[in-house]
Amino acid sequence: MSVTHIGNTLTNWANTLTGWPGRQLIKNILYVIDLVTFSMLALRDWFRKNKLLDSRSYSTTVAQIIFTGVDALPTITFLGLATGFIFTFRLISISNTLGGVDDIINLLITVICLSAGPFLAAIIIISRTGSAIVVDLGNMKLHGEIEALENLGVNINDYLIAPRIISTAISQLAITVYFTVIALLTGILISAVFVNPTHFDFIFKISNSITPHMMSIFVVKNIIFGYVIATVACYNGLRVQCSATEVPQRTTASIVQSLSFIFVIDSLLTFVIFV
Amino acid sequence: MLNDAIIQCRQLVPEELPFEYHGDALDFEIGKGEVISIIGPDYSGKGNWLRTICGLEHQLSGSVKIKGINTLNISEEDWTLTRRKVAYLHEDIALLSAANGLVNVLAPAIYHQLDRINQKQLLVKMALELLEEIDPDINLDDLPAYITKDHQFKIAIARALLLQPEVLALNNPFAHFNPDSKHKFQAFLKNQVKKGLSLLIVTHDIDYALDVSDKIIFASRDNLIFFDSAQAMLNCDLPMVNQFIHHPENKDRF
Repeated sequence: MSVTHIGNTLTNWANTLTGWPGRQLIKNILYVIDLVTFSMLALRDWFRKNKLLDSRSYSTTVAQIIFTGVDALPTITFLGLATGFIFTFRLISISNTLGGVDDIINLLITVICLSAGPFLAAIIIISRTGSAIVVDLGNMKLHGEIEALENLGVNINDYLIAPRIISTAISQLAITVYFTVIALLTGILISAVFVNPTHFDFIFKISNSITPHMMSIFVVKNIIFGYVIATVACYNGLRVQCSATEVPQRTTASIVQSLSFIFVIDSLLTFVIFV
Repeated sequence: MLNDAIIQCRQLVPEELPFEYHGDALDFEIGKGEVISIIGPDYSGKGNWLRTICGLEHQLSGSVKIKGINTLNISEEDWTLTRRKVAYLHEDIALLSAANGLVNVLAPAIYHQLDRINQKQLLVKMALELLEEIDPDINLDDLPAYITKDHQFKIAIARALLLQPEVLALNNPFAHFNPDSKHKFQAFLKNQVKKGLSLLIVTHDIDYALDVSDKIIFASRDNLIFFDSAQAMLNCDLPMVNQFIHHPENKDRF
């Protein structure tokens, strides 16, 4: 074996090793571009044909909000109560040990309102709504329901996709508000009843400490989470082609991708806001 | 040439025929209240011809115009318009599985905002009358999974007709019917044609095609022959046509 041949082989290995991350990065960037284009086209079609409160896909939007938001309330309530007991109550009860009340309030707002709330709500929505959207759209595509609607002049973006994206974003925001209120109130009430009645004051102190800046971060973060979860789910649902086995495959892919996106977006937002 | 032609095809050859086709291209028009049948042996691409005529498949050559709109490079608005003017249904057309029969019928009409023109209650009344006319025994409260295939097809017909199309294009519509319900459904279609609906139909029922058609397209793998009337087809002395009409059990030989 000549030296040149060995050199070429080593160069090829090096190229393969360094090329792989690059190719993966390009693939992921192209996937994100695909998703953004997909969701933008859906929303463009929706806004072009509908007024905000006078939509031809009104019933689809309302049904999705009921499924994503209202039907998820028992689970969210349970998680809110548990979080209130585990985090809020513990933090308030050790407030004297840790230091100033202001620090605890800041900690509660940062941890419960801006981190745990949106994140837990997103996980619930990914596992309930995201998977349901993929199965629903995947089966509709598989059985020819989508083709039949298109043949009657129904725009799928306007009728099926945009309502799901919009209603999931709204529901994510609504259930995070609900979760946060439950988590904070539960912890404060338990702490006030069992530790110190003056802890009731935390209700007013926390509400006075929430600034418009924090409020806008909370709203934007939740809307982005809901938007991304629904977009990934719809995109994967419509990628089902002709086999029933594709439905669970796309569902799994959607859950994994949504979770990854939520982690990445959460990290990016945290970096942008707090660093 | 018809001045008020709803569909005009010029030198049309479908792109997605499942075999190499070297026969004639199709030139034809369909006007108001006309019935045109496409018949021929199995696997002769009749469904591809129908879908291409309706603008749902690409053409290899030639053009299709629906209400004067060329289906090649069609805009989104024109697509919506042409789909409402020409309703295409095949034998296994799918209904929305999550909605009951009545909601299935109403959903596209509500999407196209016909409830704004007719008011919702009137639209529901129109849908119920249409369904009553097609088949009074259809159970509208059940989900499609619990409805028989022939009733599903009838609901799909009602869903399409509620949009008030000018042409109803049906691919093998009698596949799921028993003889009795088939005759009732054929009578319903005849009644719709009398009211001005045009029918473009791919069928294996040669007697029906010869009975109701104003024009007939005979499609085989080798060629396509257009007949101005059923009588012209009966008078045709081409062996493959003759043999097909009189010995339909031999149709696979073509």
